[in-house]
Amino acid sequence: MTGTAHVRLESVVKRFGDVVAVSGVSLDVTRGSLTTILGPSGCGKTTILRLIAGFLEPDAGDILIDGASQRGLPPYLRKTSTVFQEYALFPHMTVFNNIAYGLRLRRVPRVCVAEKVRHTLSLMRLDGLEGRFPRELSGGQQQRVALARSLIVEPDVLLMDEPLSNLDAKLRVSVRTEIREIQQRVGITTLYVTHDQEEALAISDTIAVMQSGTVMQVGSPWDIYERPADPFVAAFVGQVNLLRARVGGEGLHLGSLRLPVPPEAPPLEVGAEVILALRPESIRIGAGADARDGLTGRVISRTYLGTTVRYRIELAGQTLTVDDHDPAGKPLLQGQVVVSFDPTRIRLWPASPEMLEQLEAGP
Amino acid sequence: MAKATTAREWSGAPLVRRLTVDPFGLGAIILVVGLLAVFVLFPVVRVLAQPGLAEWLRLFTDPRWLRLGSNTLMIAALSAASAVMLGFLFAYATSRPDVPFRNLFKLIAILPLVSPPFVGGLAFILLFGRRGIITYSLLGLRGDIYGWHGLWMVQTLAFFPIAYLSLAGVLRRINPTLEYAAQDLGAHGFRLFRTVTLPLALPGLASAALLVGIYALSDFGNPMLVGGAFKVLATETYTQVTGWGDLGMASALSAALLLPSLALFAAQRYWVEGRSYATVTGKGSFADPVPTPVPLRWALFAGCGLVALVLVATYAVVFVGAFARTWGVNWRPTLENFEYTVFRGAQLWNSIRFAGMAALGGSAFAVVAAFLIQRKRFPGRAAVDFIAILPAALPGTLIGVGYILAFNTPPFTLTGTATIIVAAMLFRTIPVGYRAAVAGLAQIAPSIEEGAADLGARPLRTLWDVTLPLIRSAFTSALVFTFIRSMNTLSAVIFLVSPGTVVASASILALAEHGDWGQASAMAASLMSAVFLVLLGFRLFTGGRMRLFEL
Amino acid sequence: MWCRNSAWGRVGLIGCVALLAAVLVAPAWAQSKPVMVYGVIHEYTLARLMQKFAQDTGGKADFIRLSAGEVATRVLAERQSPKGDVIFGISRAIQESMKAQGLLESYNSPRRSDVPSRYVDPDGYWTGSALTVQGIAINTERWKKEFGTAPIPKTWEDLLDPKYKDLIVAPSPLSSGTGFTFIVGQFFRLGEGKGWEYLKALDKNVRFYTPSGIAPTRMVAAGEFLIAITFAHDALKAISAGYPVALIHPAGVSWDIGSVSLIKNGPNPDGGKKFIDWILGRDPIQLIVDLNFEGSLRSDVSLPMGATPLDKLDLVDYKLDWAAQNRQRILKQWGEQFKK
Repeated sequence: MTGTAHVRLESVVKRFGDVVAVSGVSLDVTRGSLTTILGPSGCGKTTILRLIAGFLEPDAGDILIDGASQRGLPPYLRKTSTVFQEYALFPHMTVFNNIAYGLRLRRVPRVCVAEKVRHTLSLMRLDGLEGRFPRELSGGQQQRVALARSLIVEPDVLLMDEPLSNLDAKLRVSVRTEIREIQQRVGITTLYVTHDQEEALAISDTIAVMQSGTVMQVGSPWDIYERPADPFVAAFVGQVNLLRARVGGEGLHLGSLRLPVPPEAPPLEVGAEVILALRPESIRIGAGADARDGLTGRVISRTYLGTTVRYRIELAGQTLTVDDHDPAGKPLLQGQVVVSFDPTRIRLWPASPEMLEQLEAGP
Repeated sequence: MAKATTAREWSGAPLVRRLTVDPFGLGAIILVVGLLAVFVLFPVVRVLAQPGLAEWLRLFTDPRWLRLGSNTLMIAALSAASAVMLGFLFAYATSRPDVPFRNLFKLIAILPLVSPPFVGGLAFILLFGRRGIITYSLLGLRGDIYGWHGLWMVQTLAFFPIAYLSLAGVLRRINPTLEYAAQDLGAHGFRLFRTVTLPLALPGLASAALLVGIYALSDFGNPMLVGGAFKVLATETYTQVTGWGDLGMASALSAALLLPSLALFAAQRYWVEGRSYATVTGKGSFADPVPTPVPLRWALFAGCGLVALVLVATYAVVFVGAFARTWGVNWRPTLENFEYTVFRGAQLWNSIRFAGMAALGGSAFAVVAAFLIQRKRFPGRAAVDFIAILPAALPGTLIGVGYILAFNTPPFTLTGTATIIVAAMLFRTIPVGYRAAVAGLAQIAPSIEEGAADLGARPLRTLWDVTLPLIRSAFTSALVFTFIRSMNTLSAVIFLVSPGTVVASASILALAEHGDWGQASAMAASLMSAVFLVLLGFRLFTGGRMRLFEL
Repeated sequence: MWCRNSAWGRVGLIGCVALLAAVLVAPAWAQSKPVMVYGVIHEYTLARLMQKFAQDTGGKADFIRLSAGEVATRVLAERQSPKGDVIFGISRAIQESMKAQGLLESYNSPRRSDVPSRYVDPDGYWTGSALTVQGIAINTERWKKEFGTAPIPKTWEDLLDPKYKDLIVAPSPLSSGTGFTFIVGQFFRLGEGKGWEYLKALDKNVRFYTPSGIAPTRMVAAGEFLIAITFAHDALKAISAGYPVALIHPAGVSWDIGSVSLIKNGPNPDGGKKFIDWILGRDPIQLIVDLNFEGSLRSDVSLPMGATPLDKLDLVDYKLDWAAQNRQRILKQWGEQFKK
């Protein structure tokens, strides 16, 4: 990692009884970036956030902010600010008082408080709502109040725990954009936790994908999507086709089909099993049965989605999902089809027993 | 740097460091535990230690005590059963919006709570005794109400409000959507009630029965007035103390009463409550319930109406008696009876100020204790939690005897002072405030307190800014309930009063026993009026925002 | 409505609470030590007496009204650090046993000479102030309704008539002085053996025994029952209040002396002595007579209204020492035999 890490986790371990929620996680968060921890429920991402906030203490390892260890420091002394999944607004305080709370704790003079709060209210498009109580606000408004409350105290690090999960789908898109804009404008280092991979791709500078307490891969959205480190990451982020193949003398054997080995593949033993990953949008599909144009397969089903047609193809005994993002003017295909793709788009890993197991288990 | 937020946090830091670094917390814990140990545990231990082997043997072998024991259990079971049925009738009726006059019924149902329980017994004699207005003057009946059947009636009426309040809360928390779903599937009328409503309410019924049972077990004034030849353990404890001076035997009898009381208490808390089907969101009513079939509506109205009439008559009779010159003989209205109340006004004032102190101190103590026990980890936490609610299982007479034994020698010489009475009242009613505070705390999502800490609030600050305001309603309702209960308490304080610290309830009993009906009624009426005023004041103060007693 | 969130609101509330607490608690500690009286006679009378004491002497006295047994128990329980100064109105038998337990202090009031010597403890532990006699109280209205013109009972044996079944109430000797005085009265009248027999026979007609001594009279006055074992003064009180009650003194009535004693090691012994001196005086006794209808032992105090003069009454030969010595045994035996 280049640049000074603003927040650094060093081999952090956290256990709850027999369960290891976080097992040896190391992560660097760049200053000013929005870093997302992405993973399914139970992977430990919220635990990491709470460790950074100070609600939990690690069993092993350390957490550093600006090089200073945070061990033993209670939450009210850390320079972090959390936006909770349920917003956690004080129900007995007005919007104004909720937002002003942190400032009052810091003994900011009354006039300053009033001014800052007013400024923040308009920044978050909450004008006119300062006298309302949280129960009188919509979900989106509550969320903005929570964000305002956390930002107004000018923390070093902003922690956000699945802030959009309580909003309905349409709202999520607009709110996440807003959050990203504000974050970039203020330039605050933000650690963002979510299970929604589209959200993560949309707003993050860096994504850390987690599963079962371990970080599987850290990288930019492009890295994560195009160069997933293992089949799990590939499957978790976006749609992917995972195929089993065997290494042959001149290439890969996909059943009776022959594929060239992708250029960036690691050294392979002949006879080894591998797993291939191929994104549905990187496959070209056309009518025909001529094997010289590509691989032949058969249409199992198709779904017309307006901007896309999604085909499920049977190919060499395995199922392939193909997305045609430009269906205009073309007839909808059925029966025998020919698929082809750029070999550089294939990701390949030697098949380990765990990978095969997960593959069997399905999504 | 210990945490004042949820107890689930803060694993990973050693216990000693947690405690020593938060001196306020540690000091508070020591204070709370110490007070509970001295004023709750110590008297109980003293009572259990007082009887010698001879007394224990007598307890189990003397047929007189065995008979008393079976009497006590029998009447408690009977009264609990009937009180619960009556309470359920009222709770069910008042939960249906289409029952006429249901708000009036709600008000009348809590009448027995605003006066000492034995006033009911007194009024009952006036109404239904041999020369009672209703039984004799109106209906010309012979025979009397003294004995277990009269006591049963009196206790049912005196204690059904407790069942009513408990059941009203249970019914309110059952989601009416369930009834709609059942209807949708084909159930209606009685079948709907039998297969859906009743089973859902069953744990609540059991819980209410156990609660009333504890009250009936320790009832002291009613058996004295109406029991006649039917004697129970509570009154016998009293006789042992006052007649024989046998504190050892009195302690043994109190211990005997403690056993069933504890059993009921344990059953209610650990067995029944865990099986409640009420939704835990604690939100109020959802949609309106299914419309009540018309005949049922009127049946409910008639049932409640009849009971309401009796109740109103009961308490009206007290007010009538207050103004009558000589009960049963000379009905001329007069203010003479109040002369005594004014003359001995100090007693009424004693009741008010002791109950006030007990309420304020008790509620504050309960809130602090609830906060410490629920939110902080320290060794023996579960035991302290139990001791905090233990007084709910202790019969009043046991507390009275225990306090005499415990606090008559240095270093704790409190007998004869106001302090001992306030302490008895206060610690007797701790469980009410404690339970309310615990429930209130449970409703605060942990993330709210975490939010405060996250923004920079130290533990005490969080307590002050966030936690306390959010359990304010629990505190206030506990305050009022404790005050009323303390004003009306008799069995615990009757052994503890002394010159200068006599309270109105003891005085009323003494006057009633002496046949000074007029003066007894006048003082009882004054006591009830004082309680009403407090309730009214409370309602005004909170602007009607808080539910108290389901009103 | 004060601001819900402001810290001042909460500080203000705490301040109010503290102030309120101080106000409520202050009176308890602001007073100088009054004389503490454990009184057995009627509460209202005691209250008036305390008031008069303050008027006459300027001293302050406070009381609590307890039944005789309660007083004995309380003084016993408090012996390590007594809270009371004076006992008043209690029956001699109980005082004798208290004297035997070392709970009383001897005090020879100058007023003792006003009282005939047989009503005074030679050792000075108690001084008699009132004479109370027992009798039978009958509700005349009910009598007319149920028995018409039949003659009312005149003797104790008349009460054994089966037609009075469930119509009689009596006080329990276990907790009331009245009850105890009654049963030992029967022992003195008939001898102990025949006395127990009488009580057993009477028990058949008794509906139940009341814990307090005055309850039977009260119930008969109210018409709840027909016949009560009573002290004359309780019945007279009811009569003067207008209740339809007749008071009968059969031959061989039991009686007692209400007396006053000083508690040993009380908090205010000088005040206690002053109180005793005062209460034996003519005016206080007259007050008690007027309000309570008890008979006086002073010669210069008039009889209560409606009372039978002493020379017309047939009192039993009440052996105080015997009663005091055998009290525990008698009570135990009674408790075992009579369950109502």
